[in-house]
Amino acid sequence: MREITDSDAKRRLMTGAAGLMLLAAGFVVSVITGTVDISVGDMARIFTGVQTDGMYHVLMNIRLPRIITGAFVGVNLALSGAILQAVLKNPLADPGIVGVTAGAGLFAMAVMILLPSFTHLVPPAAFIGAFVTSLVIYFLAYDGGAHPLRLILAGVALAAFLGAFMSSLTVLYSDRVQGTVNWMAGSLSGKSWIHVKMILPYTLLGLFGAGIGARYLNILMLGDDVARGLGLSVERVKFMLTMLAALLAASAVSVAGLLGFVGLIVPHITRLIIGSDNRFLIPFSAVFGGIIVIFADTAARVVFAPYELPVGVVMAFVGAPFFLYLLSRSSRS
Amino acid sequence: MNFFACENLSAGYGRKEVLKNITLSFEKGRIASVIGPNGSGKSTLLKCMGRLLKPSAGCVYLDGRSISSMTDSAIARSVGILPQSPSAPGDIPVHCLVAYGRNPHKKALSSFTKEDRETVEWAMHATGLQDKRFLRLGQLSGGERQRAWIAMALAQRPQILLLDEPTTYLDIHHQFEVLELLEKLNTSCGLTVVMVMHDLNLASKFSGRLIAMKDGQVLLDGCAEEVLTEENIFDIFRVKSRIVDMDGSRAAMYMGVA
Ligand SMILES: Nc1ncnc2c1ncn2[C@@H]1O[C@H](COP(=O)(O)OP(=O)(O)OP(=O)(O)O)[C@@H](O)[C@H]1O
Ligand SMILES: [Mg+2]
Repeated sequence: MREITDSDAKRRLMTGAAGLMLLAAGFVVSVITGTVDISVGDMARIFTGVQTDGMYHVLMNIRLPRIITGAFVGVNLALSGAILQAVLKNPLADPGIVGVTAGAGLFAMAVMILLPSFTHLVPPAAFIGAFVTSLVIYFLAYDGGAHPLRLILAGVALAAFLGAFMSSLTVLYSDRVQGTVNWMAGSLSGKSWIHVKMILPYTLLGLFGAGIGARYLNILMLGDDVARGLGLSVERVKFMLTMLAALLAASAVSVAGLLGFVGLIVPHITRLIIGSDNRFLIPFSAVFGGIIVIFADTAARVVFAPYELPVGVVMAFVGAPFFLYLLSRSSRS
Repeated sequence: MNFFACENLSAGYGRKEVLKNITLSFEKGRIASVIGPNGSGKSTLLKCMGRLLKPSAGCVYLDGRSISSMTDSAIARSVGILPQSPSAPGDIPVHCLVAYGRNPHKKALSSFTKEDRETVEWAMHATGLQDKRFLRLGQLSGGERQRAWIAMALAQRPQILLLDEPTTYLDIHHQFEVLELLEKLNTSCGLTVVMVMHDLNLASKFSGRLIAMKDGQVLLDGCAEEVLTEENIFDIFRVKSRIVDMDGSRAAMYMGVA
């Protein structure tokens, strides 16, 4: 079938090409910038195995794993947001809505503050906290069906509840709060190949699951009644996709901390550019998520060098105004 | 032959009982209209028949099989349902919306076949949308949008189509357009139609059977001549009327409530 109009196809092609170019550019820029100067020539020599000095170590064991982890974190958060925005039929949905932020935050903070000598347990604790909280919210909101508004309200209520625990922790152990600041803002500092291995399976699962789910997301957007009329097992599909989104976000925050905003703005920006068809929105969001985090983290490393900002802070600084600009532009047209 | 039926159907929302013990059966290849005042349970009945709402008691049968024992996609291959005023993102192109109608015929990873393509093409032609295929839903008039939804339901290739107020918001021209389309599909493909209608005259013109509901029960059930009488209209709607008969088609003139 002539699936798409010419102008749509052209726009997708252009956006796709631009996206891949940006991804490549982001990768190169991120590799060569930093406290140790690495030239493009060095980079090529290192990747081809010709050069194996100190620079090799910096590139292969410090920068590369950090860049790749960042890209996967971005992909996972963007996919998660794109799925949730479609399932909840709400363009403002993000992984925080299903409790990922609150759950991961509380569990990770509890480990960092109460068990400071066990910081290696932070990622699994954050993961469990995020996923369990989303499950709890889903079942609290379930009433013969998972109604978006109920989900959102249950999410807000549970986030406030868990937030109270977090506030209590910060007050009772105010001397130890310092160590949690970076994690709470979302940071890729010191990420290694271990973190790449931790997040990679979820990125693959997410790309696969969301790729299959895109068709169902499109049908869900027609409303529950129409979707069921079209033979979709609405509640089962919603549950599976919500849990996939929770899993993706949980895996991202478990390695990078509470990196907000990516899951909200990336799918949104992507939708403004290529429209709401999830068969395209999903893969494009994934690519843009990776790009944005790579660029933001590069900026986080170099803008105030030798100090590093948490990448989440850069995201908010740059992402929020850009988002507002896009919104005002799209509402005018 | 009765191939679609509901037996002792009761249903409601939460503790609120709306439908009370409804038994109806529908013959293949007929058009039936459900009429009745606001809140009488017309949409609720349609939702139960299209399994969008689980009845609290009773059963819906398709070809003698209870639909509660069938999978969602198996039902969707036989029963198409359009709820009252459906909504969708405005940037969906018409042909994409129509293609969603093929969903019950597809497995998770199966691609769009030649048959799917031809069916979508046919549905767009049947509804006169072939020139609008690349327009987006938001760019259509109300009548065109309604036809696009009907095209989607047609692409499903159902044997029976349940429509909730398919002509609301449409001007007379578009009302006739939609109803004549249904009539055409009914005669050419044997499509069975059950629709909720508010316009009694259009309902009686296009359907061989009128089912009048009140307070969640079927008050009257029969052909236009039997149902559309001055007393019945007063019983159902509390409106005084005159029935005029012109060249064999009946129409009610409403005189007022006082
Ligand atoms: N989702 C719902 N939750 C609770 N009550 C509902 C719901 N939908 C309908 N009702 C109630 O059920 C009753 C029947 O509603 P229904 O929609 O079946 O009426 P209807 O005959 O289609 O009316 P209309 O002509 O206005 O469309 C009404 O009293 C309504 O208030
Ligand atoms: Mg109704």
